[in-house]
Amino acid sequence: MTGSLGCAISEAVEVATSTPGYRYVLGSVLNQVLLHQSVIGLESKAALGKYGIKPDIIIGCAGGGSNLGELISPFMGEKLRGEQDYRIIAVEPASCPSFTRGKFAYDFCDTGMVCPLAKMYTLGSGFIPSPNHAGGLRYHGMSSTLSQLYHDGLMEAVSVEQTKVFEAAEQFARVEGILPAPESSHAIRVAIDEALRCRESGEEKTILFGLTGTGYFDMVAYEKFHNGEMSDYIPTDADLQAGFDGIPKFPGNEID
Amino acid sequence: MSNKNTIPYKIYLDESEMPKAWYNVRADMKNKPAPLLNPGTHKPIMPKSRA
Repeated sequence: MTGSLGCAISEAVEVATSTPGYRYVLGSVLNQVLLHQSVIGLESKAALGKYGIKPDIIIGCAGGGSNLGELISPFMGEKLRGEQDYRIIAVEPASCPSFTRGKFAYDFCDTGMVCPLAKMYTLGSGFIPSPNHAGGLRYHGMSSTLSQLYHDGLMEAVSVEQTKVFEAAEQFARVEGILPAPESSHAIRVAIDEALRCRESGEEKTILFGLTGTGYFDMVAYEKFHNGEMSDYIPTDADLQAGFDGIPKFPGNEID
Repeated sequence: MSNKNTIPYKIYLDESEMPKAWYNVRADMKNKPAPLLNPGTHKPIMPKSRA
């Protein structure tokens, strides 16, 4: 059991295939999900447009990519059509770094290896984040759509350590009175970092980030952070190699 | 931003301002995401081949 989305997918497929008349549609990662959730980005764009605001930097957290994709899609569309330019940043946990340290290859979407293969940035479907990882976004792979956009240099990705994420979350809660989900707090961390960079350089930039959940289901993690019991674990190259070894090998799917 | 003082702390949308259609970013991508493959044959999955 990995407790990850990859494991949840396998379990859902198992129920669907063993129940007559049932079918399973993946509820994250895949393009139909990005399509439906594009409403978030469209609403953000409409809200900003009402006051003539154009973001310079757009930041979203990245687990399987639905959260990131929902926010950036309409802005990425403008960028792709050459109408506007934005700096788009994906933020992922340092303990599950699919974009920043993964391989761009065909891999299973689920840990049970029953799903179709998707070409994406992946750590291998057998990759399991360290047990002390509390910040969510623990999926081994990444949406194919976002993977291609990242591969083509249309957006950046950074990874952040969880204690830094919870530090940002607590700071945000104190200022805004909203307890953010640890997942969303990855975006908050980098939004704060970018704002601090602006303060240093004296530039004025408009930063848009996605806050998509509350932290009320994560009070244990908040408590650990608050008590100084939370630690960071960044996987070693050897840890990652074990995951890469599980990526299926066939002609056309060679990895470095 | 010239209208900085007029921007409210929270911006709300009226129902009439809500999006009426989804947006598919794939439509504007020059390099489309690679197709899903059947894990047994390693061939692209076409609508008819779904089991």
